[in-house]
Amino acid sequence: MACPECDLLQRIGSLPKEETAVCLRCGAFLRRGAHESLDIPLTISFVALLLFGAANAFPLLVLQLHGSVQLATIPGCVNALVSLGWPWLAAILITTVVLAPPVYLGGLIYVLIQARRKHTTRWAMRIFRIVLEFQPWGMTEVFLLGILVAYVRLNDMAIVIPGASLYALAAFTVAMATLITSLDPRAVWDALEGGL
Amino acid sequence: MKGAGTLTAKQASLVSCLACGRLSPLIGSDACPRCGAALHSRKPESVQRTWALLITAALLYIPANVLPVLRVISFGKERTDTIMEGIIYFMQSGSWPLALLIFFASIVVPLLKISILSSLLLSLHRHSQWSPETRTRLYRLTVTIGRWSMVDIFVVTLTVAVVSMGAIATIEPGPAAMAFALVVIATMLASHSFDPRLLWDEMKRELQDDL
Repeated sequence: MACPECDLLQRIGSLPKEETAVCLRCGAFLRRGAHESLDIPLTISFVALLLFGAANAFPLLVLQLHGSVQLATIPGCVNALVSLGWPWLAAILITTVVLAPPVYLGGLIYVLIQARRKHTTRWAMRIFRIVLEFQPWGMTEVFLLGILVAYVRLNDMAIVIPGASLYALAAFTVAMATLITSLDPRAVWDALEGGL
Repeated sequence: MKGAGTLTAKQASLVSCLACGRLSPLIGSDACPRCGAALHSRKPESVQRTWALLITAALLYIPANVLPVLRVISFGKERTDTIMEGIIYFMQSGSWPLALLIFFASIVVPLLKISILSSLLLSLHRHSQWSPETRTRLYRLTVTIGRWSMVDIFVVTLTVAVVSMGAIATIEPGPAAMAFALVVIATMLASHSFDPRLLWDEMKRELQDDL
């Protein structure tokens, strides 16, 4: 293969689990020695998808004010922003937090199932390419940090309690990090090509 | 099991697919036969595109810092905050870690990204002798840290949404919020359009001249 960052041609054999191969010349990440079975990343993907669903269903922050209680969920925030007349802020939230994770996970689950069945179509490869391109636009870990800052700020104005969604989102971020270290995209490409 | 020569894919008349890593012959390959991505030996117009996005980001960085990012109207009084005033607010309320966090994410990271990428581009124009390994490392840094600048946008988004739901006060994002979001997006696209392989092509040519 050629290094994606310096173009040097090099040959990489099989890697032991949890080791990574880096470019001899520039040190760029080349391959990861992931689990041989694709079942593990597939399972983590399902878990992450469930956690993501929970993060959207439950309230992020609970606001107590003059005896009344307001629940702020992620879709609720999107709705509020649209109705307040800030659709572009809503669009950023939708792309980076609401849309990118399920598109990435849904696509990945489909691709991994295809790769596991050793019977693939050109479609699976197209989808895998789109899935990988979507990855940098998912920013839930940055969003999580933003919630913590906003929480401190809002606490000066009203009584704010963190909701269940915050914990689901934190668990989701951990699941995504685990998923990325258990998956070697090149192994998936090879499996897809072999099943054609 | 590892093995590497001194040839790059380009010198071996090959082109590597940036989406899936498959090697194809340089001549006569428009799209990757495996994943269908467009094939380019080097990212097309990489230098020009990166410059254009960087200049856009640098220009937008000015209104992003000068104009208010948040406008709060409560009890008939209006208060506007720029990014820097938001940081000072956290400092005064004793939240030093948060003040530092926002300072790094909103002020330092965008500036660092713009200056690293423009010095990398300048090094290409000047055929600089600067170690390509160091330069590739700096490039990788811009890719990793860039996304964290979005923190302040998320803070503004959440504050506006939650405060309006609770009807605590009237709160609006200021014009700087959009400018700043565009700075982050433009710098992310700039790192994406920059091709670090160009840093190594230069060195290869020098080595060949020595031979």
